[in-house]
Amino acid sequence: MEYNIFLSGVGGQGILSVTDILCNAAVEMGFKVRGSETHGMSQRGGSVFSNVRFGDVHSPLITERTANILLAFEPAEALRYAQFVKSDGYSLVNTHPIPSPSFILSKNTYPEINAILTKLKIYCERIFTLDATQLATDLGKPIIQNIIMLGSLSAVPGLPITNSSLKEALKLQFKTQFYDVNLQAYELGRKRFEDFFS
Amino acid sequence: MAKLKDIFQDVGEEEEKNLVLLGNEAIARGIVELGVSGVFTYPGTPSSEIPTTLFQAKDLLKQNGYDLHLEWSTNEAVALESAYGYSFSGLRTIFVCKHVGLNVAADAFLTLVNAGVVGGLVMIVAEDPEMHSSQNEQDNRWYTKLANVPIFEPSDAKEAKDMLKSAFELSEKFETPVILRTVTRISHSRADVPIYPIIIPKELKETKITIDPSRFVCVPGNARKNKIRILKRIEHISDYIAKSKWNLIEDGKKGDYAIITCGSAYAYTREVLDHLKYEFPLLKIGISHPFPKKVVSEFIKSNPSSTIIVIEEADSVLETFVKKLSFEVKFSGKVIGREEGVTPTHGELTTRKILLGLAKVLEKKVVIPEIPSSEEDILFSRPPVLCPGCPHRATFYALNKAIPKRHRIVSTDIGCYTLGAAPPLNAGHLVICMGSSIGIGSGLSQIPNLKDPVVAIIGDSTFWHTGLPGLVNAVYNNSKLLLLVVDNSATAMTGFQPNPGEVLSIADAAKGVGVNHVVEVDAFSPKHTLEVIKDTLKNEGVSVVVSKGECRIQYVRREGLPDTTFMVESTRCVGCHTCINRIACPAIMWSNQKNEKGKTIPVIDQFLCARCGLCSHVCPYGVIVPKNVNSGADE
Repeated sequence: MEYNIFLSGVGGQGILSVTDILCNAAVEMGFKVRGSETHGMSQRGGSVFSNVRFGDVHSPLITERTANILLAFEPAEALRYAQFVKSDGYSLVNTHPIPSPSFILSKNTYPEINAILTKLKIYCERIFTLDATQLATDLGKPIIQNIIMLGSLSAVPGLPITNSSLKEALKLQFKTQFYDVNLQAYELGRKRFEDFFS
Repeated sequence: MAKLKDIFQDVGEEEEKNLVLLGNEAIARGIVELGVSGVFTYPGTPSSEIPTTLFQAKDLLKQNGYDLHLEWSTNEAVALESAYGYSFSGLRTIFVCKHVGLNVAADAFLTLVNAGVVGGLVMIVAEDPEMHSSQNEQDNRWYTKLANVPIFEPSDAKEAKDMLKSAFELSEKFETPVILRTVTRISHSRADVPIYPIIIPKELKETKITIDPSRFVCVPGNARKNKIRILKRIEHISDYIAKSKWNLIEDGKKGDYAIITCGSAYAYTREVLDHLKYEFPLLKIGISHPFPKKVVSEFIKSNPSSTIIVIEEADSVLETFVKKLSFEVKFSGKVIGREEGVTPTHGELTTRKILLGLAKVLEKKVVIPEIPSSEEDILFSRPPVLCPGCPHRATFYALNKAIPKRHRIVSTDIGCYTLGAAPPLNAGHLVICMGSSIGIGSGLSQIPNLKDPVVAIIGDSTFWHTGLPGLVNAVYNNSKLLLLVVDNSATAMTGFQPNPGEVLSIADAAKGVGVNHVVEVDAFSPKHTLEVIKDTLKNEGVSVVVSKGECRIQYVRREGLPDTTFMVESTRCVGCHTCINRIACPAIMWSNQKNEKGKTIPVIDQFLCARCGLCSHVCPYGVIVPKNVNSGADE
């Protein structure tokens, strides 16, 4: 068994926290875990990714076209790493765009979200979208869009990490006073995914 | 990243506990499992989390009786020299740097290996193939041949920790420094790592050390003896590692192909072979210098009619030695590697790159997943940028107002402020290495009849690292140079490690080495800064302007965001776009709104804004205004 999760987004979106939770849940379940992520210079608002792999794996990096899940915290960053998702995998996309100063300066506009999603379909048919940033803002904490996305991921059919292990890892990840709001975000994301595909 | 209390938890002898750790966290854990007493370092990606994790856990360790001496040295040369001095205690000592840091330390390194050590000294050197956060891509294994020093190459985070133990044993047995080499995908990769009990270093009471001058005073007479001794030493090490578990043959089906790989390249290679279901015999090398002649010749001789494929990261180091050996032992098969196109000439390895390489050289079909489309037409680039609220942006804005961009030469340096070289700030024509801005700036300023003024830019940590000798040189040689020190009270790029600026003043240091014109300014008062910069252009000789403004991330983490934010008054905005064109703060974006002249109005994203207020100084019409977030009323 080999399972690959490719996470992508913009520096500062909380990708590494979600990576922590996924890895901790996987190791608690007894899986061999490998992964790799962006640190250092690129974290300054640049495009960032993280790979989580478990099962019979060696490489810290996911091979193109083999990710079971692409978990994208930003739509353009979904497309940037689309070559990694399997054609029968799942793409989970936070549709809230974050423009880049490079194109603000050149007066380019952000690509149409629908154009991005149409392109993404070339790589993978099963695309789940939600505006996690808006939902998180409604919960009063824009930063926890990452936990909403994690909640959605938890509902992906065939995910070898169980809902209860993920929740346990989530509980251990943050200070106890934040658990309630994080759990709320997680459950919201999970429900959105279930409703989306039902 | 794992939590400190998890990384440094104690476990019993018999307990089985696996943690998912970053390579650097695993090494930090390994350091306390081996009873290391001293750690000396200058931070640099991808090595920084090793000392930073230990630094953050210092109090936690101390509570459990582990008193670690951790030193943020001014630069890598000093760090290695200090580590060397400390190792005369006989206590285990570690030196940590990034790949280019070894260049800074090279003078000390290449001679101290000859004299050798009396206590265990391991040098952890982290390379950055692909240059994710670096100015060059250098394979430091070449240094090991130059220095006659052994090197360990782990293939994942678990091995990195285990090899550290073997590295100390080798160092202590043969009285030599030993290198543990990581790359970005070891340092910043995760793996499940078993942890073992923490060992407290032995306490020294009334320490008396003895040092033999006939060995450690490296004057020619002694150095000649040392040279002969280390040539013998490396031979003995060669014999010792011939039986090492770290150079290991993984059996397969003997046939047309066999693989030799090492370190980080092993993980990708194993993965690819498993995927393709190829059962090629494989030799995995973990100690690559001294070159493990015995095991390699055994391996190639046992595959006499095979093509031997060498896969390694990042240069053809192993390949060179395997090819040489194959000639010496009259190997009947072929040896191929990077030179034959198995792996690319540059950049880090991936499984795909190895698949493409194998497809090129194997006389059988290799299945490579196809990428159906290219998205270059729709995607934009998203390079790293100065953060919202960064004090460097404010300083560079003032610089641009004081000296027009076209009429100056700017020599900048290494740190977050290097990002200021990008448009629209354009604060940098060249960057080479740590501390080079002042030397290069000084040299530029000596060009006869140079029309434009020369500005050197350097950060606080980099100033202390290797800037200071350049400043002394510029003063001594009477260079006409403006040195702009962007002092954000942090070594921010590598993760906020402390530096000598905590207790020393850069302005005092500049005055102390004879700079007559030294001014400190507040980075967030750009109007004052620009007047001061303009003023310095009248001076002969060296001028130093220290622009002080704390890294906004560090400030906000400690103090929280101020209550006063900034907003564009959309009804009054004329749409001149000066704010975007001059400072390109990531928090200032285009809104969907247009004014009556049809000009798009910028908006300040309140989630991204760090409330520094620079944009209110920049707006020529005064329509970016402060607003109290609590009252909702204008201030």
